[in-house]
Amino acid sequence: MAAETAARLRKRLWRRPPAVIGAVVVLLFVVLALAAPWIATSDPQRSDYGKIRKAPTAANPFGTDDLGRDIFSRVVWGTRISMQAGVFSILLAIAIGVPAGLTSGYRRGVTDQLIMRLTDAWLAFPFLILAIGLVTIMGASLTNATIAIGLAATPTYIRLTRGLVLSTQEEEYVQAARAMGAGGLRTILRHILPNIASALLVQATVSIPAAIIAEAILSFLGLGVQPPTPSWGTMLNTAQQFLETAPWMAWWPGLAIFALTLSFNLAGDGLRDLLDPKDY
Amino acid sequence: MLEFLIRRVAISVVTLFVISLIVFTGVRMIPGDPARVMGGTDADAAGLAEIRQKYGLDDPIPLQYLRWIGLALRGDLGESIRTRESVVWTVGRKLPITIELACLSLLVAVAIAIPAGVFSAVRRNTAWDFLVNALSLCGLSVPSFWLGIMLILLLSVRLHWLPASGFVPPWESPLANLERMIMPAFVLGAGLAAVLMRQTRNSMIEILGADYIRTAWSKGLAGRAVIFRHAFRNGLIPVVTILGLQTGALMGGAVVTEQIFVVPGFGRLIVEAVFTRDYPLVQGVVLVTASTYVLVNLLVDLSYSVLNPRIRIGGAAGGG
Repeated sequence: MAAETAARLRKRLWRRPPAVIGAVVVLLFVVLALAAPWIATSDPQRSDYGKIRKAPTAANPFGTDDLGRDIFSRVVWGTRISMQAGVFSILLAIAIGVPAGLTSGYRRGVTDQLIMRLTDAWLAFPFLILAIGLVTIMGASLTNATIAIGLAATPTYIRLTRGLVLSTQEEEYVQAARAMGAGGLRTILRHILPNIASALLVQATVSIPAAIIAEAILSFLGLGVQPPTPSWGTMLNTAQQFLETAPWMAWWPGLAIFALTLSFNLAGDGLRDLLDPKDY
Repeated sequence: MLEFLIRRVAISVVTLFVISLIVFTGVRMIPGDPARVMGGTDADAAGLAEIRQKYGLDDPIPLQYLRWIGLALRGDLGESIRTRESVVWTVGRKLPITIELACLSLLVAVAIAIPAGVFSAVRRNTAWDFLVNALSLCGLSVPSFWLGIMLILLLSVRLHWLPASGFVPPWESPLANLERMIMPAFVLGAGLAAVLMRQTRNSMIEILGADYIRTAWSKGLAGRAVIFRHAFRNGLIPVVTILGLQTGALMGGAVVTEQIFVVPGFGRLIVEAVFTRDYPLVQGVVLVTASTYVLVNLLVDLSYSVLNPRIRIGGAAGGG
């Protein structure tokens, strides 16, 4: 039975080559982030004043920047920052949003109204402006940018979870569990949560690339990662001053963000099709 | 209908109240003594006490909130620490520039997305459909600020077709204004176009499969009439919702876009305010942004009832 399901999943997966490519590229970026010290062997922070703003060569395949640093190394190390910010911020959003949404959807009444009005207000702040505001309060750093992005993404998860709980509650198996005397917490953990997990997972594949872009934007504005730590956003900020003389400084970090977010979106689309039995 | 209106307006008022609480608390959470920020580094103890007295910083927090919100309701958001100009005036001066940018990018987005979305729904599962989908996915994934930098690189640095940055008021020279706004508008509109394209395609596909469309076809109506008179109008409803929800994204996107193209609008204002630690300005800008979002979405919800009368009933019975 399990083997049969796996085979069917595999078959459905292979019918969507873009999704497979997306997933593979995301995995490649994960490997890049983990193995940065072995892949980018030259120090991403070492300046070489003899090699300032040199076009790509064999020794520096992506060229060098305004301080003579190897752009390839900086892009590879930047993967770590982006992945960290993208994944941890969304984990934070899930850690706060899902319990809040479960409570709101399951308890209804005053608790629900309170949580939902707060969520409405929270959602009214544009994602980026909220993140900028929070960074202002907390100070500019990678950790604070990650927390700010996570908090800004939280209301989406509260709303989504609440909506899913409301629709799942009407299902017969949940009603049956309740009728058999299952308590609130048990119903939520054993019956509701597993059934909404896949929808949350799909949402995460949409949120993570958005969070990665948000981190790059905050760093680009000078509100995230601080120099000389290599981050794609700060690299693009510097690159903007040298567009006429060293355009390659702008190509690679941007291309890296684009490739990573595109792959996440492709993989996410595939995952949604895979988990949504309606489209079978 | 009336019940729906009242309920919807009431929810918006509550939301605005909670927003004001969040903004007020947020600014109070900023580390440091506001009196010292206002007084500057050379203020002595007496000077600080005077500032505290003047702005009521020693009063209980709830009282401070009431005074702040009272003034805000009368259109007084305090004054900028840096320029001493009133926050409302500063925002009022910058906002039109961003509104122009937002309207132009909306225009760009709608002009690209609606025809492309309808076309790909009508030609579902053809190469055209695939192309539209691929474009929309790229639009969703491309970081807007990188797209902006690449456009400057191509159109300004390489081809010298358009100026890379700056702003000319439209009343001085409409052409020079457009020349400088077209790239930022495209960059800001690209992401929105991608979202709209998907939404238009999906809702058109759903509508084209509906019974009343089949009836229209079987009545022998011409293809164009069915698509535009019957399907398009209903297919537009979810698109309008998305437009409302995307207002926030537009305002957030304006921050980055204006930074890249050096457009002196609302978005640049907020970044400047953050960097100069101009808290009254940050507070005012964030409050205005969030309130705008709530009001736009209220208008969107109310406009449903114009587009589709059925929603009035559903909206009144349901709700959250």
